[in-house]
Amino acid sequence: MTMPTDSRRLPAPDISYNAKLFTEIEKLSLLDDEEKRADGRYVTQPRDVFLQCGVITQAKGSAYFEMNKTKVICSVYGPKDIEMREEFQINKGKLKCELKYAPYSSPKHGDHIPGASDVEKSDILLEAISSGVCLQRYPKSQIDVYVIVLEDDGSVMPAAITAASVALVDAGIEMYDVITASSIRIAGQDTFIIDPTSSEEFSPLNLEKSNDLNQGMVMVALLPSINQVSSVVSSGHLECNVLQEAIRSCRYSAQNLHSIVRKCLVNSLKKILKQRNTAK
Amino acid sequence: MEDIFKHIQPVEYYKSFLKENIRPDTRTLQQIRKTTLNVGPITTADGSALVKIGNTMVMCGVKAELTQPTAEEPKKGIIVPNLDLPALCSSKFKPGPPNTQAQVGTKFLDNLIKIANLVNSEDLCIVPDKLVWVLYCDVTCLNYDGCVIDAAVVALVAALRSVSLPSVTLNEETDTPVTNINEKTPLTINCLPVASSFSFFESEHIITDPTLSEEDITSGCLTVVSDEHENLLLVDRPGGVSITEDQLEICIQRSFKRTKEVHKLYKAVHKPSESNDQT
Amino acid sequence: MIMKDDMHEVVEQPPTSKFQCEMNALKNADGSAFYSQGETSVMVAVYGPGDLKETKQEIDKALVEVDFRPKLGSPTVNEKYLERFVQGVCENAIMLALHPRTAFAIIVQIMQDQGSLLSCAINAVCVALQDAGVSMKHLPVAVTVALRKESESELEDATDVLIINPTIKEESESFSILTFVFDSVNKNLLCMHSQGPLLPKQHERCLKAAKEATEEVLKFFRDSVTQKVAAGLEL
Repeated sequence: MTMPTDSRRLPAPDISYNAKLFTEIEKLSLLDDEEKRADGRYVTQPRDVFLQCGVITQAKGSAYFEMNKTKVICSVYGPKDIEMREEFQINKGKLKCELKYAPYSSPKHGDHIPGASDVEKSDILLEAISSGVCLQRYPKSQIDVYVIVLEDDGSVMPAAITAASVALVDAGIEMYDVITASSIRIAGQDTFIIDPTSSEEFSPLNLEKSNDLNQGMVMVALLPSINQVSSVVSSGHLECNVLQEAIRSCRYSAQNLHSIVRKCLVNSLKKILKQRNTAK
Repeated sequence: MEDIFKHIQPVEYYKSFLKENIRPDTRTLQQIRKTTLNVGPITTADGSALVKIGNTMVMCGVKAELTQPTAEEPKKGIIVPNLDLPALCSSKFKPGPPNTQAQVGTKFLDNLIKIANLVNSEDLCIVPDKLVWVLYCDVTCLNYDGCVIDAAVVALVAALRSVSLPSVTLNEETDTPVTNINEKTPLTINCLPVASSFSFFESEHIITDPTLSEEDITSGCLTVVSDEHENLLLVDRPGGVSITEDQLEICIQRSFKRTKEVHKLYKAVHKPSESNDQT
Repeated sequence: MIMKDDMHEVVEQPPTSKFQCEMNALKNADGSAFYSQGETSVMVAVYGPGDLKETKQEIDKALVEVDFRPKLGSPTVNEKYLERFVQGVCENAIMLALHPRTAFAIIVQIMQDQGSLLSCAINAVCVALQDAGVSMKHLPVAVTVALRKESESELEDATDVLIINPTIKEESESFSILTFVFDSVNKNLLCMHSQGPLLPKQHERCLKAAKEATEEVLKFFRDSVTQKVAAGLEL
C-alpha cells in the first residue's frame, strides 16, 4: 500500500486481482448445437425485464430497470437554476447526464474515479435521450439525469437509456416520446444475438466455423410512437448491408419494449391518482 | 395548502404534529420505519445486501480480491469500506468526489469494523507476506431519506455475512495463485452490530429514526451502535443541542430494543433458502 | 519551556501540570491558541466573523467552517471525521445568531498527537474562541476517558482501570475510549464519541468520571484568561 492518492477515501491496495482469474478458463461458445444461448434463450429472444418508476422518493423522477441480471437505477432532478453560467441558454434548457458503475457491478472491483469509458457512456446516454426532451420548454434551466449501474450483465446502455427516459417522464418533464433502446451482438452476417449478456458481448468469435468477418455490436435508441431513431452506436467490423439489417432488428426489438414502458407509466399514474383520491 | 405550510414553515408545521404526539408520516415519536433486508441481489459481488428503512434505500456490495499484504501487517487481510452518497440519491449532493458527509460515513464504517472486530483480518490471510484477501465493501445510498448510516450498517453486516471465499493456494513454483471455485468457505462474522439514530427537537423531544425532513429541522444526530449482548460499540454525537444524561440513557435503551428487532432480520435472512424478510 | 515575548501573554504552569496554553500565539489571527494536554498539542486560529460568498450565506446565522489539519500532508478521512465534532461543538457554543450572513473560520493544526486528540482539539478551539472574544453561550469542555482491563486480576467482575486523558500508549492498551464534551453552565452533554465495547454500567461510570474531570479543565480555562487579562493590565 502506498500513500493514498485519494485522500477523501480510505487507502486501498494499488493492485488487486479477481480470484476467478486463476481458475481454469471455461470455453465459451455463443450458441450450442441446438442454436440456444448459454442462458437457454434463442438468438432473437430478449431477456425478461422488470421496470418500475418512482423508486427514489427524494428525486423528482426515478426508474429502476432490470433485465435479468443487468440492473440500473436512474433519478432525475430539475428543472432547476443553471449551475454554471457559461452553460446558460436563453432559449432552451440544458440536459446533464451522468452514468456511473457501482464498484461491485463488474467482475473486477471498479475504480471510484470515473474513467474515460464512463464519460463516453454518459455522452452516449445524453445524445440518445436529449432528442426526446422538449428542451425549448425549459429555457434558462437545467435537468440532471443520474444513472447508476448496479450490476452489469450486458446491454447496459439500452437499459440506461430506457430507464432514463422513464425517469424523465416520471419527473413530469415534457417529452416528444419515450425512448426505448436495444442492442445486438453480430457474430457473422446471419447471427444477430439480441440483448446480449456480458459474456456474449465479449466472447471471442468462432473463426473455425466461418470466415465471416462481420463481428460487432450495434445499439439503437428509438422514439417508438413517432418511429424515429435518436441514436445509433456501432462498433466492430460490419458490412453496410449487415449494419442496416442489424439496425432494423434493433428497432424491432426496441419497439417491443414500448408496451412494457407504457404499461409501467400508466400503472404508476393510476397509483398516483388513487392516492390523491383517497387523500381527498 | 398543507403542502405550502410544510415548505415555508417547516418547524411550525412539525410542532403542530408534535402537539398531538405524532409525526407527519403518522408514526409515533418512538416508532421506527419498516425495515426490509434483501441479501444477495447483486451476483457480480461476492456478497451484497439491499436495505430499506422506510424510503431510505442503501445497497452494499462486497468484492473480495487477491492482493499483497502491507509490509507492516504481513499476516492480515485488508478491509476497505466506502460510503458513497451519489448525486442520484438526493438533491443535496453534487456529482464529483465524496463530500464531507460521505467521508465521515466512510470513517464511521471503518471504525465500526475495527471496534466490533467484524471480520478477523487474520482469516483473510492466504500466504503471509505474499497473498491476502482484500474486501472492498462499497455502500451506495440510493435514496437519502434520513438515517442512512443505520441502513448502511445493516447492509454492510448482512453483505459481509453472505460472503463465501473460494479456496486459494499459492503455486510454489510459479508463485501464482490457484483458485478452486468449487470449494467455498463462508466468512466468519464475529459480531452483529446495529446502529440506531436519534434526533432531538428543541432539546426535549427525542425523535427515533428521523427522516430527512426531520434531520433538517433538528440539529445533529445521536447514533448508538450496539450488539446483541447489550454492549455499546460506538456512540456518536457530533454536537447539536445539549442533551441530558437521562436522554442519553433513554436512547441507549431504545437502541438495545432496536438491535433485538434487527437481529430477527439478520437471523431470518441467514437461512440459505429465503432471502427476504421484514420487521 | 514557554518562550517569553513582549507581544504574547504567557500562561505559565508548574511543570507538573498536564495542561498548557498560550493565548494569542499567532499575531494575524483574530484569536489563537497553542494548547497542549500532556504530550498532545494543537495550534488553533480563529478568524471571524468574516465575509462569506453570497451563495453560501445564511440569513439568520453565521456559518462555522472548521479546517482540521494533520501534522503531515493533506487532510484525510480521519481528519474529516474529527473535524465534524469540532464543528458541531462550535455551532452549539457560539452565538451564531449575532452575526448573520458571516462566517467563522477555525483552523486546527495538529502539532503532536500523543493521545486524547479530540478532547485536546476541542479545548484548544474553546480557548482560541475566548481569545478572539467571540460571544458564546457557554464554554465547551472536553474530556477523554479510557477504560483498561485490570491486567493482573482474572476475575470476571474486576473493576477496570479508568484513565482520564490517556496517552497514546494508554489508548492502545484500552478496550474503550470515550470523549465527552459538556457545556460549562448546565453540565449537559454537548457532544460525545465513544468507541469500543462497553456495558451501559461502564458507560455511566465513564460519564460520571468525565464530568468530574471537567472541573479541572474549567479551572485551567479560568486561570488562563485571568492571567491573560492581568498581563494586559500590566502593559
